[in-house]
Amino acid sequence: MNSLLMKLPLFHRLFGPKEDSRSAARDRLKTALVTDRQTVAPQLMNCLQKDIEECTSRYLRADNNTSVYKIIKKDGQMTLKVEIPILHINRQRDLPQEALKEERAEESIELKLSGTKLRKRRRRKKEDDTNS
Amino acid sequence: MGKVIVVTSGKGGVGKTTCTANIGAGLASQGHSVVLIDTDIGLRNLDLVLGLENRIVFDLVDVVEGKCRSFRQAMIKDKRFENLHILASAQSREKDAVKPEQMKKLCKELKSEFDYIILDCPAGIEMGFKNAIAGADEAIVVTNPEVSAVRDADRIVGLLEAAEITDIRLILNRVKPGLIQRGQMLSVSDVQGILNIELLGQVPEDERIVHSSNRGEPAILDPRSKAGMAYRNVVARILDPAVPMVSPQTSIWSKLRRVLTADLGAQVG
Repeated sequence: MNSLLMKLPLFHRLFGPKEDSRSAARDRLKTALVTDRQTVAPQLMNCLQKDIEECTSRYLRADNNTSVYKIIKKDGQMTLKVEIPILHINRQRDLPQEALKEERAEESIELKLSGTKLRKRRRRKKEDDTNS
Repeated sequence: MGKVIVVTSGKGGVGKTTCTANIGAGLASQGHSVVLIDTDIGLRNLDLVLGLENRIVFDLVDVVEGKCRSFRQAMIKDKRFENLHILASAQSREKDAVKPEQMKKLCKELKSEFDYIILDCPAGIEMGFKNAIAGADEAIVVTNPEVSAVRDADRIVGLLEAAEITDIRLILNRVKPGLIQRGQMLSVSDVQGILNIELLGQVPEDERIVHSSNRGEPAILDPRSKAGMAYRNVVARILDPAVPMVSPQTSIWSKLRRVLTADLGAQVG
């Protein structure tokens, strides 16, 4: 009876399953536009590559002539794929000092945290020892 | 000094000419001097939409080729709005009859005499598009809430930016609020989120637009037209960006249907 009623257009429209095509349109468009914008503005990839080269040069020496920059589709999502052959990695003393300072600050916070944990553990151990 | 605005879209049939006609009529009715230029050489239509097709003597190509004394001679004055003028396109010529440099020069001349010069751009991204944007200061991109129209609009935005036109605003035309509510159409915020440009206005799908163009009268004159109402809002926002945007309202029936669907649908399911 129900399925018979569903064949009536009005009834189907009122009570039939909801068809959502809006989100499909939105997602498909977003993916299509990634490729479109890349082809319309090839400068984008060039600028991006230059920026990344400048950034990596602070940490390592790369073979920028054979590097690969690509936007590919992976798991239904547009992904930036970058492959940079490394020729040489910098030593610690050659790292940018600003970034190093921040890194050290974070490390010391971690150490403090682990310090309190350590003290707690020691206290617990002491209690266990006295109990036994 | 006037402003040159190009109305463009990439895809054909999204409502560029209707938009141009209504914005022009609206600005003129507010007392601004306006000239509308149809740059679609070989496929002229702006004259027809405005009901001025019988009054064309000279066209855009005649003006740039110097076949008439000056652009004034080629301009058709609209009898309904004394400040509205149109410069029709040539029907029997090719797109390359006009060059971007010539358009630039013409726009510059017109700027000193009119408040608004609005260019109706042809569909596509070839010569006609390049001509239309050559002299433009700003752009209005018209699109519909459909994947193909939005994609083309995105391409157009990229090309406008490459041509160093940075003042780009969007009109979303043919919006069907009922369909959006049912999740079957891209919403206004979907489109704006994807294109990421300033929204000038949203115009609902309106059957009365057909009546308007049948008679050659802009919808903005039709007090019963929902699209006309939206265009009045667009014009107000062009004149003063602080004016809030009006969103198309869903009809009472579609609201009622939604309530019924939600309630009864839950019972059935």
